[in-house]
Amino acid sequence: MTSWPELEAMPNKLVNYGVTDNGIAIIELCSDSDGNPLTEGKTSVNTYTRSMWEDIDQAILNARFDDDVTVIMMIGHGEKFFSAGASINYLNTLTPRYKYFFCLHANETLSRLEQTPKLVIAALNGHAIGGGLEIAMAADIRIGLKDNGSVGLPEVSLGVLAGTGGTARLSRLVGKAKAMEIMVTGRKFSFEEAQEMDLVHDVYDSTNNEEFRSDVMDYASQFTLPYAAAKAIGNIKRSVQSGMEIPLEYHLALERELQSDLFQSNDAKTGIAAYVEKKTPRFEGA
Amino acid sequence: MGETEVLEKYKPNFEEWINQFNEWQSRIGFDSAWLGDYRFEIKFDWDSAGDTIEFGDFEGMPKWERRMQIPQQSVRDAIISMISVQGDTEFGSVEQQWHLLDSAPTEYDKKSAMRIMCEEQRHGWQMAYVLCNYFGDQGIREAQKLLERNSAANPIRGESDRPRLLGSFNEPIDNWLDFFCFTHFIDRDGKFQLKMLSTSSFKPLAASMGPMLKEESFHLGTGANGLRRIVKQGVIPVALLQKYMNKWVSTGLDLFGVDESTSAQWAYVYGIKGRYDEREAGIPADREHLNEESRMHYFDELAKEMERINKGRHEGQPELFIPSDNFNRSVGKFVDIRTDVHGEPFEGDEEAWTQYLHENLPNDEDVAELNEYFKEEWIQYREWKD
Repeated sequence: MTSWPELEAMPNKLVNYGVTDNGIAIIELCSDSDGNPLTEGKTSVNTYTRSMWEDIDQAILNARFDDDVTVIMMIGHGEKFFSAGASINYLNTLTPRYKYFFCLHANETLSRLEQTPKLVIAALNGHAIGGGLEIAMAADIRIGLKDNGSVGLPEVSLGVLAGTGGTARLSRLVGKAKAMEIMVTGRKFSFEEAQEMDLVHDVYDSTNNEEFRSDVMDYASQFTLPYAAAKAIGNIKRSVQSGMEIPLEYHLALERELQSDLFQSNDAKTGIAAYVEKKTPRFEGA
Repeated sequence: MGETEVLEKYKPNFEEWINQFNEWQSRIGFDSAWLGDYRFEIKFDWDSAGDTIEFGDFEGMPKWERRMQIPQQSVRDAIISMISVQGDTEFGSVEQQWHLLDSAPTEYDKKSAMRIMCEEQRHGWQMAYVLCNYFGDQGIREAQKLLERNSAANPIRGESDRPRLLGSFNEPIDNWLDFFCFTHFIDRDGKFQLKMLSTSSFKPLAASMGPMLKEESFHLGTGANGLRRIVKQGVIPVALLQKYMNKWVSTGLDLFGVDESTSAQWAYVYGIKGRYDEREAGIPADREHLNEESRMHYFDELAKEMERINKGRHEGQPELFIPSDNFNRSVGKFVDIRTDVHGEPFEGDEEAWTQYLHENLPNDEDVAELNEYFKEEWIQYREWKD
């Protein structure tokens, strides 16, 4: 029963960041429909601009370098949106060359998230549309709040494609045929349908957003020290995320190296000894 | 006991399970009209469940109220398994017993058996509810499985039906002497299991146990009372009754599981299932011999109950006794050790052993003899009072 931590605004005030006592880093996206910091009377839509990516990037690095952090949770501020993706009004002001660098930065940031050997959970407290879903797809686990949002990649209706890893990650997650259908139609669909195609891992029927936050926090807590072998979880992630993109024989080699790393860890000694002695292991993450 | 909460509304997934339950009743031969005005309810006693984990490696932490609070998947799996086994026994006993209703010796016994079957089904409901409500898709699947298995002892069975999980719930209950033995010995075991789960670290499971224990006491009381009435009537010879004691005591002892059980140990480590006297014990648990300790408590209680049953015997009649806990065991360290009903090593060869079992456990001739006694006033009459 982990409490939600005090969150502090990152420099551009578009992301709130905090760490729970048990090492869950919260990255909360927080902006209005134009991608500006929230002001009174505005609704959280959590659209992004270059400034938000700078905040996200910094938050990921904070979590990565913090040895106490074992899990990263991404969530949207407010009750209706995880993130509606890029601010269209903002995009409209940019030159094509600037847009290219904007996408490159977003891609690099999501790769950073994907390559960090700590479990990333996207808590979809509301709609995850366009770039919002692209952020969620770079997470390792996605959990939706029942009847409180939808997902989709509708970029085609703007004459573009889902260019922050959308076409690449969706096809890897749900298969080529399904991904094509979703992206060429640009349709939005429920968390339940997303769960049927394994795009979303679970849909919680929490009674409201606050309870959902509590439920996903409890879920995330199972991956924290001392009860979870956080180092092993990190290595599993590295093997899956990196290994899937290389030939099998290289993937197997990578897996062996990661396993060898774990065999030498205190956690492996602790885990195996506890099993033999019929005790619950207390892992250190090293 | 604290105040019991009775749930008024269910979520859709449990409503769906109820539809499957109604189909199960028809499939296994239980006529829902027999329920009369009985309504299944989900009951929780949250006060008696406690707020803090009482034993094991998580002792002192708040009890888990939701699946997501359970710190490890292995703990979640163990809880689901525990609830599934408990639920499986509840439905299994109904499948074993419903066919006896037409041959009840008195209206009192028929109504008692009916009440037991209603309450066992309610207990099954309760376990299915906890699975469906707290354990997501995995729980829903396990709750469905409770209705897919069918006791091997049920006269109505499909060829592909899988049996119930525990041996005792696949044993035929052919007649009313078996029924009283089952409720006395096996439902008493049930009381032990429920009590051991009443201190569980998973609060909805612990909170389910108070109301279930209250109802279970009627079930084993029916068994003890029935055996007392049979002994008082004095029609069925004690020697014949003793064979049924020999059969059901060993079955009841087996239900506690293997000696030096690792699964019992893990359940204790996780705080899921405690000792029978967990709140009163006052000393650390011997984690490697948890099943043995529970079994001994049960065995001691059987001996005391047998003293009460014997008080009603006719003058000059021998006493019934509880056979040795070493006799005729199918689980534990005595599986391959042959002893007589008094626990003394059996010295004879294979043929002699078969003959000994034939003489000390109910055989075909005994059943035929028993059926003749059933034509007489074989059990003391008792009036049903609403």
